[in-house]
Amino acid sequence: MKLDEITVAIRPRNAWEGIDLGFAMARRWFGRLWLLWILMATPALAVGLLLFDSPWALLLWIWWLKPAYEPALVYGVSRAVFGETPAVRAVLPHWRRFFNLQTLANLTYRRLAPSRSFYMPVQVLEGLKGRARAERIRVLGRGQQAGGWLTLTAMHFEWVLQFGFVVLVVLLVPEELQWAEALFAGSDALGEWLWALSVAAAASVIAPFYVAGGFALYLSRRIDLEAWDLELNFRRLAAGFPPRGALGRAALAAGFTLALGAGFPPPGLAAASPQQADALIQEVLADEAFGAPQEVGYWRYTGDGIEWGGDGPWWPDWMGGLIEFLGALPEVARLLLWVAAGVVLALLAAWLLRNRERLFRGRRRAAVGAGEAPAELFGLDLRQERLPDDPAAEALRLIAAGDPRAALSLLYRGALVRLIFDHGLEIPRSATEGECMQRVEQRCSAELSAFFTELTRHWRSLAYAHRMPQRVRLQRLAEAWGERFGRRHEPA
Amino acid sequence: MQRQAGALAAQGMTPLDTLLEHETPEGILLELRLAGPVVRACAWAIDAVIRGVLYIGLGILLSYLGQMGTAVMLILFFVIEWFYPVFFEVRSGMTPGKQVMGVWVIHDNGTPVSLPSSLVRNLLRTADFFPLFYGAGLLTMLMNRQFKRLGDLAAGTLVVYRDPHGQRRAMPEAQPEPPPQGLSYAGQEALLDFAERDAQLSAERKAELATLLHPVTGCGGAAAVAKLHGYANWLARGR
Repeated sequence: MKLDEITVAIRPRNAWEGIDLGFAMARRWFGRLWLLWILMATPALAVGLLLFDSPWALLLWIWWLKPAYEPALVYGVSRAVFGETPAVRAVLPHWRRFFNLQTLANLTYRRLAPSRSFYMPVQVLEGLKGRARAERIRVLGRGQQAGGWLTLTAMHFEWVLQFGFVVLVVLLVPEELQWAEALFAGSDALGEWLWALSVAAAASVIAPFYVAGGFALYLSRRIDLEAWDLELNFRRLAAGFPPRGALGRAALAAGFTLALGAGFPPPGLAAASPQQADALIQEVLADEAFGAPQEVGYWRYTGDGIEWGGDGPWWPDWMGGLIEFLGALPEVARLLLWVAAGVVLALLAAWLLRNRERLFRGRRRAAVGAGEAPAELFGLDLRQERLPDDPAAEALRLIAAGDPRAALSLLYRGALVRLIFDHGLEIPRSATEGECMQRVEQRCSAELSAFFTELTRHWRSLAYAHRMPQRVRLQRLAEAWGERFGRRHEPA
Repeated sequence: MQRQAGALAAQGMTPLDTLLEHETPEGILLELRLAGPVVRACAWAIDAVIRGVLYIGLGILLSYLGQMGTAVMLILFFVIEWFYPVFFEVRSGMTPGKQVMGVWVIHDNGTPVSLPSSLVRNLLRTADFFPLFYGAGLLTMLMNRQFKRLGDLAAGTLVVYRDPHGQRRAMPEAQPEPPPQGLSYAGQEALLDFAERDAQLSAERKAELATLLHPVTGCGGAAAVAKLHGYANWLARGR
């Protein structure tokens, strides 16, 4: 067996990843492993059929003998990992390896050992027994309990499959076939045999995963402890350098001495004679790593030193208050509901108030409080009382006096004031001349808006472009202004 | 992990592993270590115990509140049963059980799991549960190459092992010594790896491994180990 031929990726894994690798192996070689299990279990089944009448006894028999079927699977999966693709026929001749004293031990006092599939490679592949086996298992199992969890989980997986199978069949049986429903539930013999079948089927499906999971856990522990990945990398690295001296040549020529050999012996001993090896083994075993004392902490019952107090409820007073408070929660919840409703109403009202203009456009024009009108727009004083009583006449007077600029300013300002106070036009403080014009177009009559547009045009060309309108036109504008807006209304 | 040479490569087969490789648009190869049924079942069991304790505690507490308590209890049970995994997965990618087992949920492309994906994979637990105790989910996980259950297939999610961040193991002190010219990047990595795993390896195995590098170091046995540690120290400290 050589590392070069291994068909799984060699990298350090944690224990759980090791198990996952085993599940991947079982998936790849499922057919072969399943067949091996069936082949191993069939003789046991035949013997059981002769021995027992009750299907439950037969089930117990098949279940109890599980450790006897599994060595063949371990062997099969180990061959497959090292590149051989053994047919079932090639595994069976090694039956001696599968049935020996170790197997007997597994079937008796070790039957309920929690990490069975994790330990199995140690005895099947390494051929260790007795103290050596126990020591080896301790070294491999140090720092992880995944092997035990694997057994426990696989057991539950079996139950899931087996109950799932039965429930599925019961669910799929049409209601008309009432005899079929009683099949599984009743004391009918056929039902019991079908139960037995479901148990065996589930066991055969899970067994390859369980065994391969334990084997891969063992393999990944060895990869980790013996740094197989480093060995591969070092070989590749060394191949890139010319060999130096005799030792180097020897090291290369030795090829892969991590012999997993006939039975996975622990590495590093390949070149030693039996006597040397014995001495070496004793030396290694004397190392602290193999016999280190372990501190194990546990809880011991020393009697209860607790004084159990007198009568009354077990909870303290403040908790009683809390419980009363929680009992009053519905009232509190109702109150909170009313408060929440009030808040929602208030928010709604506030929102309406803020958006009233957009919502009620066209409904309210006239009633505008003077307080809301801007006192000033783009530098023009828009207070009503600052406007002369008859702006048109005043404008004509200013034109005659040779101050057309003041006249036009007065007309425009007057028009805005009248629009705001007499026609109820709302103008925001931020409005420009153009926006005022738009508002007039939207809100006022076409005739008024045409006049205002013309006025604005003249005012803008005067104010910003310093272009003076003709005197005649200006006079006409002032007269038109007088016709539109007239004298100041007396306050009613 | 490096590709293994030898017979396998000659046959054009990739070595069996539980890695999923995902290349990002930037050309970075992510290696996601897929988590299998056993570790996931253990994580689920831990979560189930936590939920069970929650239910019992809530049941005792709320039983003092009469009918109101029953109503609240039923609502809470519903919420916990359906959204316990979603809450934790969206928050940190892992439920407490997954955290204990060192795994978490991600998208197929390696990004953190999002709310919609988490909802889908957890609501589909109903499908995975069929016909009893996640029978369908178990079979799917056993058959799927990426250990996905039905919910994972629908949501496009994976359960993978978390990588520990920024943990460098200590390496034995040695007189830093520059390694010979022509050492590849992979070779340097192997040297660092050798030094960092010093504590896990037996002295004999270390000597055996170091002797393999005789062409590089020019010596064997314990001397070679010390020399490799010197190289590793030199590499780790930078030049």
